This record gives sequence, structure tokens and C-alpha cells, in this order.
Amino acid sequence: MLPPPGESADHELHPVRRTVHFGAGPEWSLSQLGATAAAMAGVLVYLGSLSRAAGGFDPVWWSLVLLPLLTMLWAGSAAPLLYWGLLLYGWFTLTAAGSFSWWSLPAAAGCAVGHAATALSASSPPGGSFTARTGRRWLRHTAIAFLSAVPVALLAGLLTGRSGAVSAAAYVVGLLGVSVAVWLMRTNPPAERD
Amino acid sequence: MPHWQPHRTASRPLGAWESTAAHQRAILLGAAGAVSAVVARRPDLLVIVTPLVVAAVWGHLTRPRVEVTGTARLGDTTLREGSVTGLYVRTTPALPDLHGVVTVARVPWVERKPSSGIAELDDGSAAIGLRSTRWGRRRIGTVSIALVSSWGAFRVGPVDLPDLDCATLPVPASFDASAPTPHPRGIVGLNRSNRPGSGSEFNTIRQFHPGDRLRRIHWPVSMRTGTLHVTSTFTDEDAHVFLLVDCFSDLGPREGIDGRPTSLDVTVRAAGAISEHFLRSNDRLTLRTVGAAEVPTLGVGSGTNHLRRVLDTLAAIAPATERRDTGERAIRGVDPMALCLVLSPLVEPTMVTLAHTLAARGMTVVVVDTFPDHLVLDPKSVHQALAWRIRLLGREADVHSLRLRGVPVVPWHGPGSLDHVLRDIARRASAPRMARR
Repeated sequence: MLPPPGESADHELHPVRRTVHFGAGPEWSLSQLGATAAAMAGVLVYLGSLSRAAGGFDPVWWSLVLLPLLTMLWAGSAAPLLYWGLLLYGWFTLTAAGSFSWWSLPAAAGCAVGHAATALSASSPPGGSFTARTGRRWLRHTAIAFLSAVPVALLAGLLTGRSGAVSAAAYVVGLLGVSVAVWLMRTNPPAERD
Repeated sequence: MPHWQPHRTASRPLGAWESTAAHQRAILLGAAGAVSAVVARRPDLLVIVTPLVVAAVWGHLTRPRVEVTGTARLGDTTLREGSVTGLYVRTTPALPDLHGVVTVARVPWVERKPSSGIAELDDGSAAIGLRSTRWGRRRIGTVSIALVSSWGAFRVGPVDLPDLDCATLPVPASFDASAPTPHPRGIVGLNRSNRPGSGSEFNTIRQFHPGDRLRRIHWPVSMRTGTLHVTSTFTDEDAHVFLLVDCFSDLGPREGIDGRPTSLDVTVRAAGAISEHFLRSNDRLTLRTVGAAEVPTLGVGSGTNHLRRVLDTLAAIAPATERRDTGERAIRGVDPMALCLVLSPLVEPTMVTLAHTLAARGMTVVVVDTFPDHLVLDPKSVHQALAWRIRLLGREADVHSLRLRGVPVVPWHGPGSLDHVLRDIARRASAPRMARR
């Protein structure tokens, strides 16, 4: 059958999409499994950075790498928030106050990749696939988000050891963060003026 | 009955954009990380949450502020069994950096390509292939659309569009008959009549009469006898075929065009094949159904347009939806000279009674047995085998009673199924017969 006028003939071409079944569960596309693997890689990089920054931790915590896999069916729920909260709390408790480690930069990369991969996974059903174009777009966005951490890291590295300056800079940045968060969290913005 | 009209296009606004768990995660973790970094003097924590803060701000700033409308359109609303059409989905306006997913729900006898029924919107449009594997009128699976903005921050849907539906015409089984149709009496068909006239079947060579065509002159005889002689022919005429379709029974697993047929599959495909054969021979044909509700009444007709109407009518059959149907209405007003073909698996006694009634009116009746053999070849249990055995004994008694009345019962085997019996009927037509009036 010819496609209707105005439609591209390419629409008729559907590449073969392979899917995987785990027991009686839903079928998973390779794209979704790839996104989950990327999220696991993000957690792995984060834990590796934390291990380097903190000088090691109990090996049992490496099992947190499996959390994206175990919660991949609930990627659109609060489960990723909980385990990323746990991972950030781990950094908070295992590193010393006032110190700065350049390992926070790869940790930021892991965090960005983990967040983006989980968000991408939640945007499609388990059997859904992503085109290469979508993958490239998300990769570009993730790279830009990660690159934004580089100047912050450079600033933090420069100011470390200068207690007064660090405190002032940190307070300014922190207050900015809180203001942005409050602005984003508002649920009913007032109407704009004409 | 209202005329059935398939729904080819469906459209619906997708509603308001709402923030997602991913966006809330980025906000909460970014804000909490930033506050913790400030309060507890953790600059490295600030570095870690910076991408999350960027993702939250980015997602918020690129939030779509227009309402998007989703539209789905079927490429073709009338299909043949096993044929494929496209489902084209489009969202308007097509916003940049949106990631959208279209889902078509699974329904029986509609195969989706890709098989998951999920396609990604590319520049606001997507296409999914649909293959209908069984005749009938049906809805395709519900089409759902979901869109997410950059960073998966805001989302609309999944929203179900209004249902689309299509008609799948049965693929007629292959059928051909070389035997003539009995009782031709029209003027446009291909069947040889007993009357001399314009046609193609040789009758005799006779003397020339005024009005005879010059191209009919038989020159060898004319030269030998000294007077003009012409070749005369029998006139070609059309016959009237009356199809009575049993819709009471649909025995067997419904596996579609790729699997084993049910009894109604065999009946409907045989009816399509017989109709195609006779209508291509310019015969007139009437189709009536028994046991199905809301099937439009089809008048007498001929030609390819009528074949399309016949297939449409067959596609409208829903099995056993009118079990109180006695069939009296279906056989009312039937042309007494018509060739009556009763297509039935002969499980429902009503159809046997109707065949008896038609035969008692002195009409030429042939029962086409559409009982699929595979139903009884591999019974799943002893009880099922016993039940079939009892049922088949009753069926054999019905077949025997029909044969005693002079109604031939022929199993449907495709091409040539009716040759033998139609020749017998043509031979029998010239003999005297007794009928109850």
C-alpha cells in the first residue's frame, strides 16, 4: 500500500526492534535496557569517585550499583529520588567537611548520566525504543549539564583553603540554589502582566 | 439498520503539561545538595549537584506552553484478510526537543508492526503498520500518545484517542466450476440456454433467414447446396444464484488467515469464492444470512460492484448474534428458478430445516458442507471426542435426510467442488419432477 499523500515513504520502514522478557514480566526493548545500563554505569562511576574521595568504604555498598536495575520498572516513580538521595548522603557522611576532592567531578558526571538515563527510561514504556536521534539529543544535553559542573569545580578548587572566601562564595552559591529551587517549586505562578 | 461507517480519523487535545518525577527529583536533589553544601561546607557536593540544578532549570525554561493535539489516521479502512495498512499519528504543533511515544493496544486479529505496538514520534509524526488477520468489522487497538519535554521534565498523556475501526473483507477461497449453472433465463450471462439465439454455443446449420448476420454464413454448405446457410447458436443467458449463509455456528479456534479456519471462516470464504465465480460470469446473485443480527439485506445484483457489496455483507457477520432467527425471512421471495446454495457446517438444525423447506418448494438446492475436518481430527480429551462423535452421528442423520429428499450435500473443497453436482442438476433439469406447491 502506498502511504497517503504528504506522508514519507520512510514511515513504512520499521527496523527490527528486539525485545527481552524476564520471566512473566513485560517485554523490554534493548533501548530501555541500554538506558538502565547507563543509569547503572552512572551509579558505578559515582561510587568509584566516592571510594577514591573518601579513601574507601565497606564493599557491601557497591551493591548499590544494582539499584537502577532493580527499580527499572519504576523509573518514573520516586524510587530513583530515594536511591540518589542515599548516594548523595553517602558522599555527605564519608567525606570530611570543608575539604574538596577533584573526584567530585566524575561523580557529577555519574550523577548527570544516572539522572538523564532514568528520565529517558521513564519517558517510554518498557517495550519502547529510542531512535538514534533521540539518544544523541539526550547525550548532548547530558554533556552540557556535566560541563556546567566544571567551572563550579574549578571555582571550588581555587577557593579551597581560603576559609573566608570559600564561605562567602559557598553562601552566595547556596542562596542562589535555594532561590532557584523555590522558584521552580512554585505550583501556581501568578499571571503575567500584559 | 443504520449504515455502518468506519472511523478513519481520530483527534483529541492531549491536555495540560504536568511536571514529572524526573523534574521533581532534579529540583529536590539539586536544592537539598546546594543547601547541604552551603550549611555543611561541602564544595564537592555542590559540584556533584550542579548538573541536577542545570537539568531542573533547563527543563523548566523549555517547558512547552501550548496545548498539543494528537491525530491518528488509518491509511485504509477496508482491507483484505492478511493485508497491511498504516496508522499515521501526528501531533500539532510539532514542538522542538519533544520526545513522544505512540502506543497501539493489542486486539485480536490485528498484528502490529513493530510488534510491541510502540513507535517513537519523530518530528511530531509516527507510523505503525497494522495487519488484519481475520475478516469482519472491528476496532483497531486504542491509540495512546504521550509527550515529554526536554530532560523529561514535563509530560502530557498518555491520552487515548477515540477509537478507529476498519472492515476486513474475507479473502475468497479459490473456486472454479466448469459445469453450467442450471435454469439460465436472463440475457447477459455466459451460460448456454436451450433457446436458439445469439451466443457462442453451436446449435445447428440452417437456411439463411432475413435478419441473420452475414458473418454467420457457412460457406462450404452454402456452396454445396446452392442456397445460403448460416450457423445458428444457442443464446447465452445468465442464471440467478441464491446463497444462504449459516451464521449460527463458528466452530473451532479463531486463528485468522494464518491459522486453521473455523467453520464460519470456511463458510464465509466459500461464499466469497462462489460469489466471485458466478458474478464474474455475469450471473445474478443474492446473499442472505441466517443467525446473524444487523447484517444488511442485499438485493439481487451482478458484476464486480455487487461482488464488493457481497464481501462487505460477509464482513458484517457477527456469529450467533440472532439465535432466534428461523430463516423464514431469509428465504422469503426467492426466485423459484434460482440455484439455491446453502452454505453450512450442518450443526444447527435450523439450516437443515431451511434446506428441506427450499427443496419442498421445488427449487434447485445444493447444500455446501463447510464443516472443517480438523475439528474432529485431534480431540483434546475423551469427553470432547465422545461429544463430537455424538454430534456427528446427529449430523450424519441430517445429511441422510437431505439426500433422501434429493438435496445433494457436497463438502467444500475449493475448485471443482460443485462441478459434479451442477452437471447432475443440469441433466436432471430436463427430466420431469414432482414438487409440492
